[in-house]
Amino acid sequence: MRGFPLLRILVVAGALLMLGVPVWMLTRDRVEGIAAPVVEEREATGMADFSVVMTSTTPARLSVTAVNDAVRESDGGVRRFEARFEMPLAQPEDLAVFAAFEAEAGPQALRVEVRSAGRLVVDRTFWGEGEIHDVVEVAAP
Amino acid sequence: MKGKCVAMLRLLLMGVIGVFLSAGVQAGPVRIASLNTVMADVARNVGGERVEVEEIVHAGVDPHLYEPAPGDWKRIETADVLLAGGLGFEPYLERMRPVLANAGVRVVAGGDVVTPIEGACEGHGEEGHHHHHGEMDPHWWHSVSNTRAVVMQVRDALMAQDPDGRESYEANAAAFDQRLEALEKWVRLQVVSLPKANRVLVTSHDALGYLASEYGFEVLPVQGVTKSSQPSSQHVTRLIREIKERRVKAIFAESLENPKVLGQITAETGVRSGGVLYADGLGKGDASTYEGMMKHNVGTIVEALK
Repeated sequence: MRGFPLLRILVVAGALLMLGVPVWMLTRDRVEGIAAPVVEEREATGMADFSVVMTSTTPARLSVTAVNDAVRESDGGVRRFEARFEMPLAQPEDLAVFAAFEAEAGPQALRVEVRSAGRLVVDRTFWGEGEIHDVVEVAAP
Repeated sequence: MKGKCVAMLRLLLMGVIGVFLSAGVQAGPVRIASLNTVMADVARNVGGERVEVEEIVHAGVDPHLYEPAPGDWKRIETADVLLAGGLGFEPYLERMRPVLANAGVRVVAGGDVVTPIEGACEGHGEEGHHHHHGEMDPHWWHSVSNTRAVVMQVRDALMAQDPDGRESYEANAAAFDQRLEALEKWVRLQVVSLPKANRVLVTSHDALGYLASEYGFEVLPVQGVTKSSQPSSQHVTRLIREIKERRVKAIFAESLENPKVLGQITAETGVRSGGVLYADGLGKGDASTYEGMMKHNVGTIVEALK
C-alpha cells in the first residue's frame, strides 16, 4: 500500500465517494420524482393542501406538526416521510419538525420540502447529532 | 546598607508599576458600571470572576425615568467600563461622553452592534397627525440574535481592557453564546404552537418590536417607545376598536409603570389580562437573568394567546 500512490488515491477517493453520496442525494435539487400534487386549492374556504416531504441522511423516526393539527409521525426509522396539512392559503402555519436518528454518532441532516399546488414553498435542510427539533417557517405561496 | 536596600526596593517597585502601566495590564478585577440590566447580565456571564459589575440602573428602576444622581456620576467616573443599552435608551449618555472620555472610561453601548428597527408611530390614522419617524426602538434585547451580537461586543471590550483575560473571556463568551443559541431555538419552538392569527401583542408601551419582527407578531402598543407622552383619546378609541375587531385574546401589562388607560382598555374590550411582561430589562426572581427574562416573557405570551 505504501508503495502504490495510485492505489492510495483510489482508496481515498472511494471513501470520499461513500461519504458524499448520501449528502448529495439529500441536498440535490430534485427535478424528477415528485408527482404532480393531487391537491387543489379550495378557493371557497380559503384553505389549501400543503404536502411536506421529510428526507433524512440515515433512518430516523420523523414527525411533523402544525398548530391546531395532529402530529404526523413515521412508523419507526425511515429515510423519507410524507405528510399533508390543510391550512389557510393566505396565512399557512409554521411547522415543527422532529427527527430522532437511529445512528447516534456523527452529524446527520434532515431536508424538509413544503409544496402547495405543485409549487415549492419551502426547502430547508437542518443539521444535527442524535436528533433534530426545529421550526420550518411557511409563508403564503 | 539599610538605606541602600530601601532605595533598591523602591526602584524595583516603581519598575514593576511602570511595566504594568505601560503594558496596559489590569490591576485587580475590571470595574464595570452598568446603566442597563441586560448588559450587566451579559458582562457577568462573559467576565466571570475577572469583573466586578455595579448596576447603577438595577431591576425595579424604570430606565425611561432614571436620571443619574451626583453619587451615580461618581460611581460611573471611577469605573473602567460603562455599559449602556444605547439607541437613545439613556438620553443623558451623550452628555456624559466627554466627561467619561476625560476620565478614561470605556463606553460600550449594545445598540451600536445591532440592526435597529424603527419604533411604532402612535398617532397613525389620527386626524392632524404629523409624522416623526426615525425614532429607533432601543429595546434590542427582545431579539436573542441581537443579544448574541452584544455578547461578542462585550467580550471584545473586556479583552481590550484586560488583555491577560483573553482566554477566559473567549471561553465564557463561547459558552454563553451556545446557551443563547439554544434559547433562540426554544423561543421558535414555543412560538410555533401559536396560530399566526393570534400573534397580536397589546402592550403598555412599544417595547417588543424586535420580538415581533423576529417571530411574526404584531404589536399594538398603548404608548410609544419612550413612554414620554400619554396616549391621546383618539389613539385609545382606535386601539379598542382594533382589539375588538381582531378578537385579540389577551392584553399584557409591564413589570414597571403602566399607563392608566390600560385598565380602561381591558374593561371596555372585555379582553383578559395576559400577565406581566419584562419590557425594559430584567426583573426579579425567574426574570433576574437574561435567559430567565426571555423564557418568562415568551412563556407568558404563548400561554395567554393560545
